[in-house]
Amino acid sequence: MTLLDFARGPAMQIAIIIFVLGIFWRLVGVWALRQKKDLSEPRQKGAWIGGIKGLFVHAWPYKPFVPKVGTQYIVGYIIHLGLFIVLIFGTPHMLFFADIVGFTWWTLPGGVITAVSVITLVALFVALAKRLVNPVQRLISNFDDYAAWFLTTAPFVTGLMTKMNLWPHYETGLAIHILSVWLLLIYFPFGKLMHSFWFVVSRYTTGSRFARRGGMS
Amino acid sequence: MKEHDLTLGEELRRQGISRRSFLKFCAGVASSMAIPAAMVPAMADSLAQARRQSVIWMAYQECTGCIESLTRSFAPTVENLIFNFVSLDFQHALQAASGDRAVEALKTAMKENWGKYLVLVDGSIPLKDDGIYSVSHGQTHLESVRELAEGAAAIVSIGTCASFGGVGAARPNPTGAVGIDQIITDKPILNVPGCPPMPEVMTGVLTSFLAFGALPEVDSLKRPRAFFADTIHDRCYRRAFYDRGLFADSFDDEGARKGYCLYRLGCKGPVTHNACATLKFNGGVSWPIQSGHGCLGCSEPNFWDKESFYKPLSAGQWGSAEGIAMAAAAGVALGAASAVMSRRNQDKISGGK
Amino acid sequence: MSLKDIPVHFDPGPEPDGSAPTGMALALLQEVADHLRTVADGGERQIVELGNLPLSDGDFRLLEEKLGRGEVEATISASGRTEVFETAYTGVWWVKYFNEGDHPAAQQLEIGTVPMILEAHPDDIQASAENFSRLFDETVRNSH
Repeated sequence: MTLLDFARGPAMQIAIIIFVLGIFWRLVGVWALRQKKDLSEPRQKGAWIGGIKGLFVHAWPYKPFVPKVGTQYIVGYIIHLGLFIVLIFGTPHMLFFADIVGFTWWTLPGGVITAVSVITLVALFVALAKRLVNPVQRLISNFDDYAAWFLTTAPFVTGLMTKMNLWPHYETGLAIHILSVWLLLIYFPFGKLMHSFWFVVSRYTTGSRFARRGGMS
Repeated sequence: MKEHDLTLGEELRRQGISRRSFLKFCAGVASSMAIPAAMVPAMADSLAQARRQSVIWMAYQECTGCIESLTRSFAPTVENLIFNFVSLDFQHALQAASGDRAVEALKTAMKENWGKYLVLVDGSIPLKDDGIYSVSHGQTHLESVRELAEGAAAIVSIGTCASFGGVGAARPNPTGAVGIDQIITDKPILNVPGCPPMPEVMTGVLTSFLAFGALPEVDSLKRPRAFFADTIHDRCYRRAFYDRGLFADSFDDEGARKGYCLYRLGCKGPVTHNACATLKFNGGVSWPIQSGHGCLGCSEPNFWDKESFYKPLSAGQWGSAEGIAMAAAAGVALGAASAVMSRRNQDKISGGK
Repeated sequence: MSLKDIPVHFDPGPEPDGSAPTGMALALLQEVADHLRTVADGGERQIVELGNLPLSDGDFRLLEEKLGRGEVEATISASGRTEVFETAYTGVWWVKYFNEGDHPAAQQLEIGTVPMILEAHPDDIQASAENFSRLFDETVRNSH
C-alpha cells in the first residue's frame, strides 16, 4: 500500500471516526451540563431575540475598540473566508465532498484558488506574528493555540506545494497534504478549533443573557 | 566475416543503410527519452560500434498484450534493423521452433551467452504453492526465472504484470502473483510498466543498452526516468483546461465535446507516471485521454485495486457507515458520562446547594 | 427487427478546441533566442526538441508564423523522409523526421551552420570512396 492509498483509505476512515466521536463527546458533554437556575422573573420577554442579535453584533468589535482590535478581526476574516473558499470551491475539494453528498457545484479556476491560498497563508503568518510579538497575547497563548495554528497552516502549505508540484515525488506530496488534513480533523474536537461549533453557541448565550436582565446563578 | 563479429554500423552499411538513417533513428530515440539532442551524434557513433546482443524473452503469467503492443514498435525503419540485429534467441510467441526444440534453443543461447544475455519478461509469477499455477515445459515459472536470472546481464520487466504483478496480483490474488523484482534481487532490473507498455520505451531501453552498455537511470519503482519522470497530468494537452477549471462532467456533455479536462471523470493522470501523453500509441495516432477517456493509471502498482476508474482522484475511500455511526454513539456516551461527572463536581463545589 | 432497422445517427459534435496557443510557443522562442546567441558567439550546435513537448496546433502555427521560411529547403530520403528548411533567421533550421509511411518520428529546431542530418558521415564517405574506385575500375575495364 502506498502512502497515498493509506491517506485516502484507512487514514481517512480513522480520522473521520475520531472526529465524529470527539465532536459528539464535546457537544453532548457541554449541553448535558446543569442549566443555570432561574432566580427571578425576567424583566422582558424574548431573550432569544437578543441571542440572535448577539450572533451579529459580536461579528465586529464595539466601535471604541476598533482601532485596537480591528486588524485582528480583518486578519481573522481573511483566514476564515480563505479557508472556506479553498475548501468549498477548489475543484479537487469539491469532488471530495461531491462523493459524499452526491451532487457537484461550481468551482473556481486553479489560479484563483492558488491566489486565495497564498493570501490566506500570509494572513495566517500575520496572525502568528501578532501572537508572538504582542506580550499579552504571548502570555495567554498555550500549546493549544500554536497547535491549532500549525494544523490549520500545514494543509495550506502542503496543498500549495502539491498544486505547484514542488514535491520531489508528486504522489507522496499529495498524500502528505491529505494526511495533514486528517491530522487537523483528529485534533479538531479536542482543542480551540472547536470554536467553529462553539462560537454560535457562546455568542447566542451571551446575547440572550444580556437581553434577559434577570437573575441567574 | 561471421555475422556475430560485425558491428551494428558495419551490418547496416552492408545492407545499404547510411549513417543518416542511424542519426535519424537516434534523434527519434533521443527525443522520446529526453536525452539532450546534442548527444545524438555520439549516441549514433557508439550504437554503430555495438555488437550483436543475445536476448531471451520469457512469457510468464501474461495475456500477450505486451508483445502485441511492442511488435508495433518494429515499424519498417532502422528500429526493425536494430531488432534484427538483436539476437532474439527465445520468444515462444514469435519463434518458429516449438516444444523440445524451442527449449533446446533456449538452453543453447543461455550457455553460449552466459553472463551476457538480456532477459525480457512479460507476465507475473505466482508464488503460492511453490508457483504451481503457471508452468511451461514442466517447469514452474518461479524456477524458470531464477534459473535464467543467474546468467543474465540484466532483466527488463515488460508490462505492469512483470513489473508489479498487474492483473494477476489483483485482489484477491489467488495465485500469489508478484512482479519479477520481488523474486530476483541480485541483478540489475528495469521495469517498463504499462498495460500495454509503450513500444518506444522498449526501443529506447534496448537502444541505450546497446549504445551505452547499461540500463538507463531509473526511479524508485525501477522505471526508466527518461520516460517515467513526468506524470501524465504534467504533459497532458488538456492540462490548460484543468488550470482554468474547465471540466467534463460526463462522457457526453458539452465539456467532453470541447475536450475539457477529465479529472472529474476519474482521470488518474496526476498520479500516473508514463510517457503516452507525448509519445502516444500506435505510432503517434492517439492515446487514452485524446480518445476522451481518463487515464486508468496502468503504469502504477496495483492500479486494478484502486477503487473505481471513474471516481475523481480527490474522492476518499470510504469505510463502513456503521463505523461512523458507532463513533457518534460512543461520542454521545462519553459526552453524557463527562456531563454526569461535571454535575457531580458542580454539586461538590456548591456543597449540594 | 434487425440491427439495420435501428436508426443510427452519428453526431461527431463540434471540434475539440485544442488549437489555442498555450504559452509554450513563447517559451520556446525565448529558448531559441538564447541558443542563437550561443551559436553566434561561436558555440556548439544547439538543438531544441519539439516532439516531446505538449504543443498545441496553435503553438505550431505561431512558431511557423514567427520563424518564417528562409533560403534553404531540402528533403532527405534515408529510412523514410526527412524535411529540412532554414527559417527566416539564418542558422535556425527546422528539421522534421518521418518514419517510413510518413509517421512523424521527431521534430527539432537545430541552431547551427548546417543540420547534422545533411552532413555526410566520415564512415559513409570512406565506404563511398571504396565503392567509387571499384566503379572507376569497372568503367575503365568496360570501355576497353
